[in-house]
Amino acid sequence: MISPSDHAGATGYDSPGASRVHAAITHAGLCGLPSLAAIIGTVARLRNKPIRLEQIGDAEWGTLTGLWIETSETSRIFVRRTDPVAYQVVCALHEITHILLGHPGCQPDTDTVLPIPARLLRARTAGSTSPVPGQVQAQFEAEAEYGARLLAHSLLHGGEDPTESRFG
Amino acid sequence: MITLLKTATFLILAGAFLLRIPRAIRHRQARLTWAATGIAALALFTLGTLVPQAVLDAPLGGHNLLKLLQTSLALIAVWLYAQSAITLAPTAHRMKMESLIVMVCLPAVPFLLIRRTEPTNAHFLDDNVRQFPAWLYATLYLAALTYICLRLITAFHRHREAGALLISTGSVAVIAASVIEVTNYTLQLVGTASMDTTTVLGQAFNLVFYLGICAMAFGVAAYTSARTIRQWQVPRLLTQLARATGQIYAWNAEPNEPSLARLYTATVTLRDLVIAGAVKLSPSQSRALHRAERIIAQSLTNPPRKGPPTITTYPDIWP
Repeated sequence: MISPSDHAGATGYDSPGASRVHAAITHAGLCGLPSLAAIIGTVARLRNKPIRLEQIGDAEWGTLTGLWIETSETSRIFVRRTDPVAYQVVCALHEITHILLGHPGCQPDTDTVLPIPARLLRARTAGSTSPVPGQVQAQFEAEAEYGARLLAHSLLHGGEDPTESRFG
Repeated sequence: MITLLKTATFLILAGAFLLRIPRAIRHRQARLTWAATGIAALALFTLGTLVPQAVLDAPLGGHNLLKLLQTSLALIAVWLYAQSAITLAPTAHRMKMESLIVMVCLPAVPFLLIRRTEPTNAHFLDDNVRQFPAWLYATLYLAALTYICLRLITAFHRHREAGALLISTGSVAVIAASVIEVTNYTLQLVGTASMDTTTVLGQAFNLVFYLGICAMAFGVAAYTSARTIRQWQVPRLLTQLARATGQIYAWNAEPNEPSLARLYTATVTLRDLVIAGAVKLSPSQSRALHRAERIIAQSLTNPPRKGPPTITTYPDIWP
């Protein structure tokens, strides 16, 4: 398994936010967890609030690739089930990083009809995850993307599944 | 044809054994199947397709003790494969070492009771099956082999990769061949088999059994080749994706990352650009992206599955 510490600057993102993300992930003990489920479960336990990951259709989502909607009972994360699995993982981890860092909500830059009334939401939009100097929302997105890729890299098991490591 | 099949299977296994030596040295978890491959190759070598059986049997006394060695090696090899497959599931019941000792030693007892006066003969068992100890030996050996193959099939039943499918299919063939052979020997023991029936069943056993063993060998080789092909592909895919993403990839690139992590970053970056409509991929770039995404998905520990809409609440059981 690859640890995030092997990947300082994994997304080329070097602002002070990067160290904050790294510290939060390390403090939460998310490095080296064996699966996306384990990472989400750990964050849910830390916040003492369930997190629902929903793989849904994407007909009207346009460039929206991940969505976090906070309700009073749960944190709901939506990803598009038609996207490649590796991409869905990054999108889910992007939203998890927002939750972990306690980012505030915003309005998504999209015409998407939301599936439920939300108290707070954030959306991952393809092509809008890079930091932009002076833009706070873009900074939040860049931090979430940085965390997502650190965590996604930590889920790589070196290119082999357990079967291949024995039989290959 | 059977001789060709035996020789080809031996060469595949011997090749896989030699190619995997560096890997077995570096990775502890690969050693069990590596040893199994070597032992299986040795078992096939004793069939005498490359070196006459008489030469191999001579140091053992020249009275067909080679047959016992051959079947014992086969049992050990398949047992090691099965044990390795079983340990993939942490909750599965492993086979105990004692079970292997019993499965190897039990057939050996009747084998040593066979009157073995004739010199080395490839058809030694077929010629002597009317001796009860010979029938008992063959039956115990094939029953043990069937049991181990069943464990192997069970261990692999959720696996869909080519290697697992080939090994499982090979195991099914070995079980079918074992049933044919025990039926053949039983009919001969009780004296109800005609010469024609014996010949047909004997040929069917040989064909089905060695096709099964060959499929299992190809299954083992499939895992080795999948890894080798992927290691060869990753740097090339990285170059292709970097070219497709252009300047934007440079923002994401980190030269000190392991190549697989860099490939992951590149696929996500490029997929973002495709969804945002910022780039239009050529057919070859599109194929490269799909291939890279498949490699990454295979390299993730416990990834979510693609399929119908799912909702999962974490932790799975919320208090």
